[in-house]
Amino acid sequence: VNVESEATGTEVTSCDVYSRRVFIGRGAGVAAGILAAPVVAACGSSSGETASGGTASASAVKGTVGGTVNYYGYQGNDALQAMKSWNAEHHVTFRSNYIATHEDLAAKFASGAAAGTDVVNWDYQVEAMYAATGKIFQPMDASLLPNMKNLDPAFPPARLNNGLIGVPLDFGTIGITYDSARIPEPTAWADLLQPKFKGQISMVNDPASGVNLAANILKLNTPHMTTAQLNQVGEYLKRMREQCRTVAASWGDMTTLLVQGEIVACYDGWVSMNGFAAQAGKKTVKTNFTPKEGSWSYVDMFCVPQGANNPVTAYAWLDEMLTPQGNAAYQNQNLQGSPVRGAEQYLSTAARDLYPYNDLKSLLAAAPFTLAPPTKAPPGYVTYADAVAVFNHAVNGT
Amino acid sequence: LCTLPALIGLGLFFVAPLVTLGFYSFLTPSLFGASRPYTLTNYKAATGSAFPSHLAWNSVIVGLIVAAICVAAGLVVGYWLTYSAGRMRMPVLFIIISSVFANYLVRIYAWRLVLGQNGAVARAIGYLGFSRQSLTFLLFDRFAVTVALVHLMLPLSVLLMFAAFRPVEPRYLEAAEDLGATAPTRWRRVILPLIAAPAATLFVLTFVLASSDYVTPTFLGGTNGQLYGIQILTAFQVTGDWSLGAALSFLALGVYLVAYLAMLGALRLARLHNIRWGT
Repeated sequence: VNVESEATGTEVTSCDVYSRRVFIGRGAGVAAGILAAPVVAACGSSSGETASGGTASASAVKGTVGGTVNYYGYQGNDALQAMKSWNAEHHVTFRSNYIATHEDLAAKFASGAAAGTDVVNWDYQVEAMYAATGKIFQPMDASLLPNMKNLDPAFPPARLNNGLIGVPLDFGTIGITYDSARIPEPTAWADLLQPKFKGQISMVNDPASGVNLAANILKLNTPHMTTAQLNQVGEYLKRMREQCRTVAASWGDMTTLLVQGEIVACYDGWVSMNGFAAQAGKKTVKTNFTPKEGSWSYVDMFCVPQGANNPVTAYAWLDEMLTPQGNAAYQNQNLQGSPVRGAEQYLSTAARDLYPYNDLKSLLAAAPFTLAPPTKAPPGYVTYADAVAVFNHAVNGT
Repeated sequence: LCTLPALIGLGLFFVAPLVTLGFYSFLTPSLFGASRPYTLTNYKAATGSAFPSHLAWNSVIVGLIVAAICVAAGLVVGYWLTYSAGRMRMPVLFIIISSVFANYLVRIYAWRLVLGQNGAVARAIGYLGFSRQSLTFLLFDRFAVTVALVHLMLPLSVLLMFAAFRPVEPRYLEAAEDLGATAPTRWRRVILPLIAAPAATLFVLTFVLASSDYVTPTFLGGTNGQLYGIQILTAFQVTGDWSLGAALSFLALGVYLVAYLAMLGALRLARLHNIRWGT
């Protein structure tokens, strides 16, 4: 059992799990010599697994801030514009790799394709799935993040086995995003199921978010759903999918559909889409994030993962993003909510008006943070894989 | 010795990954991984519960249409470039090749602008008095996927057919004409036998590339135009079931091998398999 498996509580040995990197290495050996070597090499090799977990532990992080920082996460959450001056001041070059869905990141780390990443951004709801890979999280050193004290208590840091594994840097609420120039504000998710919206709406091909939203609309407990309840979710998603003109590949893609006039509203919309559309010249896109049936909110967590090349700079970058000014600049760029106390005074009008900072409690009661189903569940209850399968069956027909 | 680099390349970049993928397809899946014991359940799932019959059907339909259009267009343009283009040949070839330089995704997105409700086609038809709402079938359906895939494959098809025509020297056609063959007869008795093998190969190649594509359907296919490749992508990237993904891939590979063998068989039946070119 190597370093990373201890960090996540998941037992992983080089003989139990085969990463793509391990296989590429072994495949080279195959071509050079024996074609059957992958079968032989599947057990017994010691390369690969330890390489990704070979960084110094968090407490041993030392060095000078600067150099290259490799980022893996959602586009925009690398705060390239917001942190431009900080990056320049500290001679930091940000190299970003973007994901389209939560699963991309788990797949990249599990296959070894994300080796050397310094900063990872993930959605709190799928934390269990990332932990299950055993290749992302490591215990982080809280002493290197003094500005963590600025976090609003409503947004606690992510912990696993009592160890710090990530800090929240933004939040948002899922809602009905619509083109106010074409339709009046939909006040309930049920509105989107009306015949007049058939072929006029879209949804995102994101299983975790899609299932989470449907479960919240149906007043189900997402992380503890029974099989029968998941079937209800599947039926709901199927009805919504039948209303859709297309299933968008990402939120950016869905924004494009709104801007191009292909659709008028979105299931699984997002407040930040308002800003994206405005940047594209369409200022009539709005989001109702308090529909009658309720909704859910996400928190974007950030961590320094296993195998980070430049953890010193990664910690410094995260800490800067935890300052009120730094976090506000980030939200002004991305139009998301700030979990940092004191950031509100530095927010632009557009960013400040998105969320009721004086009453976040009410917002989070109507649209709570919700975890996705776990990777393992007792009989009769659903796992994350079950939820993904139901989403894919209902939405993609797979 | 001369073939050694090619053999190493083939082994490294084709055989090894294939063997690896085949090995995965017999492992027991775990989340974004796989481990022993070996099992056949992935193939049972791939041919049973996890087999997306409607996506496979979409793939076959779209693949056949794209392949047929590309081969037909390749034949016509390739013939024209070889025998009739004259000084236009190089500029036209340059235009065909330069179209490949545009980013793949940009070309896909461009079709959204052309086929969308506010796109060029809808506007043109709108001017004729038809409702744009009736044109929603143009985008986010199999039609849009087929059009975009033809657009993506056409440069390759034309270039391959142009290369196929090069050894068919004009004097063959002149000799046939001297012997009294009409234009259709020259096509049937001289040209088609000589280019049957490359045309059939192009047909299978474009069929494989088009029917296995998943990017174009993702952006243009909507809820009805997705292809089989999306199921493989879902297994690898979404559900993290690499073993099922590998089994689905091998299933597709088997179908493509059958298509290739069928092509060889058809050429053999037509006695076109060992036609020799050149002087």
